[in-house]
Amino acid sequence: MLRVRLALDESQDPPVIHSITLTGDFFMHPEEAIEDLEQRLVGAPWEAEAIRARVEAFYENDVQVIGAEVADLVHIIMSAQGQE
Amino acid sequence: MTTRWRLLQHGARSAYENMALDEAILRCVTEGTSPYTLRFYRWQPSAVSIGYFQGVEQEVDRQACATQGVDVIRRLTGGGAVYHDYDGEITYSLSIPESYPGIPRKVLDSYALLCSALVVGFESLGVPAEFKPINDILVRGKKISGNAQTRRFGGILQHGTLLCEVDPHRMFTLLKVPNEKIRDKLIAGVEERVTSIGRELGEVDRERVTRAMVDGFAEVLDIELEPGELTDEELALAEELRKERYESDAWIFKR
Repeated sequence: MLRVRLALDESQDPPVIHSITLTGDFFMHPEEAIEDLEQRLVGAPWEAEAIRARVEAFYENDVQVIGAEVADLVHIIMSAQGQE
Repeated sequence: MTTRWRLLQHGARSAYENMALDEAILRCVTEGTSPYTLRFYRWQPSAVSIGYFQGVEQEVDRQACATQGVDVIRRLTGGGAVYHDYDGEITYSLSIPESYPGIPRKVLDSYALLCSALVVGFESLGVPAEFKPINDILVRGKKISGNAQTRRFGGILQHGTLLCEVDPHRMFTLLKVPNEKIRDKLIAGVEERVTSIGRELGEVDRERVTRAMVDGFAEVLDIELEPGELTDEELALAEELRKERYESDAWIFKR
C-alpha cells in the first residue's frame, strides 16, 4: 500500500508542496532514488498535471520502480489532505 | 563449467545480526573477498521486518512487539512488512555480483530466474509450486514464499521466506490494521491466501526443505554449493553494520 505524508504551503494558490515523504511496500532500484523523487516534488504546485510531469521526468531516469506506477503516485499525492 | 558457491547454514540469530550479515556478505562478495553465497537462517527472537520504504509507525504495533519480545527491523530491500516467526519460517539469502553471468539486468526478470530455483525445490518436496510475478511463489494460488531484492555496491542481494507454519492471528497482533473492524477479515484473508510447508506436507523437516532448495539452486544456476563458514571480515563488518545501521533509531525510523 502506497502512502504519503505531505505538508503544503497553503499561502499560495495553488498550494505548493513544502515537504513530502512517500512510503509503502513498493520497490525502487536504486533505493536511494526515492530521495531524488521527493526532492523533485518539493516546490511543485499541488495539482495533478504538475505532479504528473515531475513524477514522469523522474521515471525517465535509470531507475526501476516496481509496484508503484506514475498514476498511483499522482493519485495518492493528490488525495492527501495536507496532513503532518 | 560449474561455478562454485559457498553454502552457509548457521541457525538462528537476531534480526539485527541477520540483516547486518546479509549486507556484510553482499559487500564482501562484490569486493571479491567472499565467494558467491547462498545462506539459510532463522530469526531468534521472532521479528517483524518492514520494507525499505515503509514507515514503522504505519505498519507495526511496536507496543505489541515489545510485549511479546518480537524485534522490529527495517530491511535493506523494499516490499512489505513480514512477520518472521522462529518456528514458522526458513529464510534464505543469496549474494552475487551484478555482473554474474546470466542474471537479467531487469530486476523483475531476475526474480523469475532466481525464484525458479525455489520452485524446483518445492516440487522436489512434492509441493506443486509456481512463480507468480512480481516476487511470490504460490501453491494452488496460495503464497508459500515471498522474496525481495536489492542491488547495491555492485551486487545483488535477494532474500526471501519459506513458510513452514503460518499463524495469522499472531501476525495481526504485531502488524497494524487500518481499523479494528477489519482485523478478523484480514486474518481470514491470510488463511485463504497463504499456505505453508507444514500445511502442504503435514510435517516440516527443515533439513529436508533446505536440502531441496540447495538442490534447486544447484540445478537452475548450474552451480556447486560447498558448505562454508562466515569469514572474519564478514563478521567484523556485520558487527559494525548491526551497531551503526540496523539497531539504530535513525535507520529503523528512517521513513
